[in-house]
Amino acid sequence: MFFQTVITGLSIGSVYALMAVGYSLVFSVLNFSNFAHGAIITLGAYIAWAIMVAHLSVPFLPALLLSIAGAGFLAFLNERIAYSTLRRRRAPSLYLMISAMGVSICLQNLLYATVGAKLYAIPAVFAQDSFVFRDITVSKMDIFAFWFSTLSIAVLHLILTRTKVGMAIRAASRDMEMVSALGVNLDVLVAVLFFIAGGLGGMAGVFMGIKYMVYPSMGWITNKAYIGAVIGGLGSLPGAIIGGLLLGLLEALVSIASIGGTSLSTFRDVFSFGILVALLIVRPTGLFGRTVEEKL
Amino acid sequence: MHRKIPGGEPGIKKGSVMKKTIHFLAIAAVLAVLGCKPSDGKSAAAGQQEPIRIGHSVALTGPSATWGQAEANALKMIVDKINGEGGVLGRKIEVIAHDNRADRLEAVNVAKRLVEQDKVVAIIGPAQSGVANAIREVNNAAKIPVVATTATNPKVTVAEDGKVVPYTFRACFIDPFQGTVAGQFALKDLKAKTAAVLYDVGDDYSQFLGKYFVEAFTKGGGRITANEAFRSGELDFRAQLGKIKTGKPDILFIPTMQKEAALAAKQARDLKIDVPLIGGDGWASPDLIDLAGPAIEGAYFVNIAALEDPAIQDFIKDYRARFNMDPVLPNPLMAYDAMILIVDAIRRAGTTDGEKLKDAIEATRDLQVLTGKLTIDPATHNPLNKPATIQQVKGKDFVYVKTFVTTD
Amino acid sequence: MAYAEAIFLNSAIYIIAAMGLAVFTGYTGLFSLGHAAFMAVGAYAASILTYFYRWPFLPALAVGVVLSALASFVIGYPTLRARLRSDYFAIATLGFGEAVKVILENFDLTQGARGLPGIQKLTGPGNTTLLLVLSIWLCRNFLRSSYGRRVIAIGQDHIAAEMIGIPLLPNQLLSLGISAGFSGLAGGLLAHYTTFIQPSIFSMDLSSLITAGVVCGGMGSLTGPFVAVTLFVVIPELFRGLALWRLVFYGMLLVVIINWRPRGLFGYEELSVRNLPKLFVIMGITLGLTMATVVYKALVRANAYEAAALLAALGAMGAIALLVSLLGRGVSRLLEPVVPRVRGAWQEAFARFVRLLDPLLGTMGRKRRPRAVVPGEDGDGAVGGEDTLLRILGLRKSFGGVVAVDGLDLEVERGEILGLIGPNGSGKTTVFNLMSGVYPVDGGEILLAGKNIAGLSPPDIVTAGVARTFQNIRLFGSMTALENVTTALRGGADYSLAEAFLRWPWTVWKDEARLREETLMLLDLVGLADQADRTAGTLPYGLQRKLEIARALALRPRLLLLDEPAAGMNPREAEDLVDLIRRVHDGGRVSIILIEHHMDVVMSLCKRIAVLNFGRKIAQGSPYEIQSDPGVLRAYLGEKVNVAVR
Repeated sequence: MFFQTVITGLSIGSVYALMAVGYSLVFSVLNFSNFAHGAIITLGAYIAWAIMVAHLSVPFLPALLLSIAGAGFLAFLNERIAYSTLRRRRAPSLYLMISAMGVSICLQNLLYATVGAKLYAIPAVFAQDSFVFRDITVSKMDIFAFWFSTLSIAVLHLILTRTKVGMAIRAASRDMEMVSALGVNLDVLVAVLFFIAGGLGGMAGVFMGIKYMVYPSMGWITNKAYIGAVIGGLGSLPGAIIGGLLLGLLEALVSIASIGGTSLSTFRDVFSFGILVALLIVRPTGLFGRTVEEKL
Repeated sequence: MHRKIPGGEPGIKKGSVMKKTIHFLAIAAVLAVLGCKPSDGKSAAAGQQEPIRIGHSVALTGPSATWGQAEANALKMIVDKINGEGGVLGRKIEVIAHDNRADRLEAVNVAKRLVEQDKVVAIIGPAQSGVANAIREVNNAAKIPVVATTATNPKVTVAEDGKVVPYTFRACFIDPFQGTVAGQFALKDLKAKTAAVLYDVGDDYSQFLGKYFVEAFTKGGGRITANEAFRSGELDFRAQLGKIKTGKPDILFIPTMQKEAALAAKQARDLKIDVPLIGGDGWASPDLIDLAGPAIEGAYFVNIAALEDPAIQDFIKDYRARFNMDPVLPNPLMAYDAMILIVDAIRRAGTTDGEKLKDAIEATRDLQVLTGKLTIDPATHNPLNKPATIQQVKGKDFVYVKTFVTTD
Repeated sequence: MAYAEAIFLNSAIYIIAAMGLAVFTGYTGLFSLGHAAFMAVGAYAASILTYFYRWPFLPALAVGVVLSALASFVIGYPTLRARLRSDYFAIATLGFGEAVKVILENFDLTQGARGLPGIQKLTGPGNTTLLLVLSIWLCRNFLRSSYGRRVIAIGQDHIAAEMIGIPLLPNQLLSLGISAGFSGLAGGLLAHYTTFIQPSIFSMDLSSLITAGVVCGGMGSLTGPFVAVTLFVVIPELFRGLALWRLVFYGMLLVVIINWRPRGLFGYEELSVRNLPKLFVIMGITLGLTMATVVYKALVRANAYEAAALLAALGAMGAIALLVSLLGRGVSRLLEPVVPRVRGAWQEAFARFVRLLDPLLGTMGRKRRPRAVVPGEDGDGAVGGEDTLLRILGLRKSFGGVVAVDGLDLEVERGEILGLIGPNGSGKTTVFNLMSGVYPVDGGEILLAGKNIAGLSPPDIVTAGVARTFQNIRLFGSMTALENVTTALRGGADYSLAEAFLRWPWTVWKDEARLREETLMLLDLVGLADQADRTAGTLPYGLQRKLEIARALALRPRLLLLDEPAAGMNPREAEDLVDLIRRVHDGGRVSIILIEHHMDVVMSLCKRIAVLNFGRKIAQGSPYEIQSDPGVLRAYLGEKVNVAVR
């Protein structure tokens, strides 16, 4: 049972990790927590559902790519409308966070009001097949999601280290003003950044939609992913991945644990949020994050 | 570091901001009004006498909407029928429905609105136990009888202290019965010796149905290997299912609504838990199959009625003719029965006064309803001797397996 | 009627919650996203008492308030002590809110996720109105008291607040506790209104709603959230069918407001004759919308074309909005002369009443708190007599790889004005920051009258007798000049928190009057007595500088650190400043270290000057000696130095 739980935990954790990367990417450059990321992830799932089930019958792989692109575009729009003014005005990161909250509330309820609260399923892509090894099973969808996510993050890593845009992003995460002074068009940089983050989010949304189902408050799970990002250290990409995986693992282990006979499975969320609060108090930079001292 | 900038933002004059605000609000108002439809156009229904208003607290949107819509449709059918035959006490009846979204708080608001503003004489619904529990005090205080349609939790009509809830009734069976049916079915028909349960700790219905199943199963000689729970709204039960798997149960009982059941079934199959799955009437929505796919194939569940039941074929025919689809059972039947119950009571009481109406409902004996003869037990406000059916998922349909008779 | 009552009760409950949040988020400047948790605690506590134990309503509510305040301590203490940056703090409160929800769901007493039905409907228009008025009154009294001023100061500029001796943690906790208490009250009222509660009601959505109310209403005002929350409750009722769109609208509104009008509707203002027209405009638009829907529905029912009905409705709305706005302006103009007179008369009468009862309630039985020993006044209680007031030894500070202060030695004689000059980046302001406790010290000692103050917390340093001003002026912009100085007054106010809440006339009034007098004396010293009631942020630059100096003086310091006070001043203003500093110095009552680039100022005030470069002292001596020091000239190579030798 233990190993199966580990596999389960890593499987949930990989979803968290993918979402957490989106949070950390934005945080690393703009230094704020983008709460609207959850809405983008949900929209990614809805786009996939819309083109795979509801209105068209696009096959899986093209639908996945389209959803990624769509979510990326929506994230770009989100930045343009809700953040760019504040960013240019050097508003404190709290204002950006409030704006993100507003977007999140708006988009989620927009889904409720238009598409409705009905649940939708995206048909299973790989049937119900799983790989069995001794008494451990791993579903094919999980394996595909894992492989595809790893590929995407590898591509992201290449972009960040080998392309000009990537270098500019990495530089901006250290010192945005300097990058601007060097002549880089910040607007373009941030647009690309959000497109990438949104794309990753959309990907996560599609995987979630297939694994579970599609409905407006899917974004709730992204709160957990955020905790994963904090555990790993906001602003650090390897941190986001490790943090997400770690959180998934810990949650799964808590779910099967019990204290004196009472199962802890329903206390799982207290545990996760408790970690969040404890971390923020004791070590807000998480495992791999950077400390930025406020210069007065 | 930042300081709040006092005074005005640089470059924006105070006066123009005020104008902009007014303009913005004006535009918003235009958009809002454009999208607004006049609510509840009480078109001048020039009736001679005031119609008798009966409230319907129902989930018209959300995951339970399939059942809710079916209830609303069934009520339309019976209202037309009754009004066509002359109405009740010389007056027409009118159903006022409000969407409770299967949400407890919303249901309380709906109940208040029905009672205080719409001035209904009785309420049909809600369909969910937790929701029915929540509105108890509202209609009790207002002395307006409520007939829940498919709320199966016993606490809906009998409070914790054993006393009956004065103004709440129901048209369906209760969970102890349903749990017993499931337990005995598993033991006798599926020949299971061990069972595991996965339930929703945030739902009255799920928690208690699970409990009654466990009681019946162990009483009949079975052994429960695992009794796992999850929080409402969670999506991933694989950790709990993994634990269940190690106990190697013969069957898995999932007393939840169709959304969670679908997820659980998919994940159980993913983990190669291949034993038969059993559920309760919360499964009985067609989108169970859409959501679960092949994972739910062959699973059994207890229900209040089935499409093949000979007693209701006329109703099914009429429903199909009028709405062009099959009714999503069992809710429309229960709503229909509830209306018959209320109308009959009004006729017997000779008045719509809340207290007298309640007494009349309590005294209902052998009333012919769609699903048989209805007698209300005054001590529990529950119908006596209601049958249960077992259905099975085959392909895209729910197939009738048998009508189950419990042995004590 | 029942309908109107429902709207009123709903609004009142949310307004009380918003008032609570406004004290914390609006005034203290800490963003909380989890206040629904405190409403939950209050709701459950009160409900369990009335439902299971048959307690009467008001005591049950009171218990709810107390428990909520205590609960706030659980999350407040660790997070505030850790000095989280604002968005981390907000997230921590969010996590706390969710955790509380889950705990309630798993708790048997609260019946878990299924909730608690059957709560008695004890909330009525009578007790709710009473509690609403009481809440507003208590909040206002708190914010106008010295406790409130401290909390507001923290919200305006927490660093400056620390620099005038306000310890952050206890005050933030106080503000959080009060705000949680009000939320708990709102929760208790809510429970006994809806007669049913379950943990999922107290969700992030609820927290967001109240937060949006405070942000859109205006952080720093009570009127703002009052109005905003009322609108949030009332407007959706007008468009019933759009219930789901309500939240879409809030979200959009939040984005719009934070982007283009972060001050919200009322910013830092409260309701007054001056912004009465604004309130009337808002009322006018709301009434206009109501009329528009009524007109629209009526016309459509009378079979008019939808387009025509729409136009008519819009016309009606415009007309009403305009009318009411004009009415507002008229009323405001009418009241303008009247209100001050009425207020004056009322205050007179009340003051007379107070004086009447004074012998009974005033000083009898109250022991005056001993005033704290005030250094800098005659009869210095500390180690007296020694000539050297300040001795800095081997001070060191680095930021990452940059060494800002590199082994600095400096001495200040008692009663002197020491000039501290040096090229930009030589570490002057850093030294001030180290001395006042803004940064931790990497090495070395700062001995004030023999006691090492290096590494002490800013409020402790203030107590030891050091005060400073800032290079870029850190005033509390939305407070008046008077309030800025009063908040810093050493010894503070003499009344308890309870008396502050009640604004107990016999203690609070008297004390406030005393504080006002003392403050006016200080303002007079710097020549700002006539500007006492002007909002600090609206003062011209030169006067702001003076105000900052007055505020520093209010701390009765032994050592005053002035950081480039003459920056940006023209020669005439600079002369003015020199006179002011001389007056302040008062022949040696206060020792001063003066950082300046304006050489005229330095040369005229300082008998001794120290020169810094690259974090070390490179020269020290009289102005003449400094001028001719080759090292100094090298350091300033390329810089034009305008020196008038006196």
